[in-house]
Amino acid sequence: MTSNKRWTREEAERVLDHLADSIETGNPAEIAADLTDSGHDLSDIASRMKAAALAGVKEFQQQRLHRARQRYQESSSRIERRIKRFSGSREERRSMFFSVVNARPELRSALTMQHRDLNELTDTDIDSALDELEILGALEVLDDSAS
Amino acid sequence: MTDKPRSKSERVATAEELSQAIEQLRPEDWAKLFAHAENRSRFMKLYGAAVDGHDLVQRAVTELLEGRRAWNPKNVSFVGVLFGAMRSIASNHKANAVASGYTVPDKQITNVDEGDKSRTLTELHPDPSLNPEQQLIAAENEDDLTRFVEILYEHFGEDIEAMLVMDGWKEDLSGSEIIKSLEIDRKGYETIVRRIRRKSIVRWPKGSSHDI
Repeated sequence: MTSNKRWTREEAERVLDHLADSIETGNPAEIAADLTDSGHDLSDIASRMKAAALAGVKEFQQQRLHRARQRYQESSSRIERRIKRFSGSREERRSMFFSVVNARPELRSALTMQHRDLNELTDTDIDSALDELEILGALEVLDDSAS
Repeated sequence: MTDKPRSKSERVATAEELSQAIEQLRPEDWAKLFAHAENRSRFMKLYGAAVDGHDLVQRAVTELLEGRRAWNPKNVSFVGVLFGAMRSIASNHKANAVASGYTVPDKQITNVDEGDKSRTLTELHPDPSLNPEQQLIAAENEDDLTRFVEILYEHFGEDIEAMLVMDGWKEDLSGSEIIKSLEIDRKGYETIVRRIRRKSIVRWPKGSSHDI
């Protein structure tokens, strides 16, 4: 049999694993009786465990609520930004478009592929390009430079 | 349950289904879950966690709802799915602790008990996910890392069979190997295991100074 030498973590782990197996396959009434015999209050155990499990459900629901609130706030501010950006005059929208293209030269080549000459863009083309740039998040550069 | 691909009958349970399943459990089911949760929280403490059985069951329920685990009520009982979830949380914790280098050689744990001034596990590898209070609990638990099993073993001073079975577990022998080496039958082995299990549950009445 084992001497008085301290048990290692792995040895203790193996014992705990075997005990876990035995608890899993054990008879619930027998385990409940063992706990009661040792002075545990079974109804106290049941109510605390139940409260913990229900707290798990609540935690999940609060997380979902929190995520939904976050999504709502994000989409509200996106809508607000969009209204602000697209409410200006045709000249203002055109100037906004060129500000973005100048700030992000890499976009120029992609846009010229579609439109050949950017100076020939119609107001409709500008609006649709601004839409695409908004989706791509490219208009953020305007927020950055404004702040 | 688990990391395997889900079959069509396995799906994520809804909050309503789980709340209903929780309400339907009997006191003896909670007793079994309590014993298992305490066992797995002791396991996690071996790897620096600061959790108790209640924390573990709460986390298991949340993970089921988050869809990290599926449940097919036709094949597995609610108690069974919680056992699986708690086991998996505990083994994931161990894997993360080992991967992050949280664990240190056993020699260091022994030194803590021998009055050595060497730093504790928590001091050596503070877990940033714990708040200061949890860090403190984790540090206090380090003194008890293996004590629960040691004291449980010593408690069987006159029950040689139980000590031999625990020796077998310690040496990583399976139940069948222990049965063969002790020349007993399966029923006899299970009776001895029940004695050990009973002591592991009753040895530390609530509020006892040994309630570790």
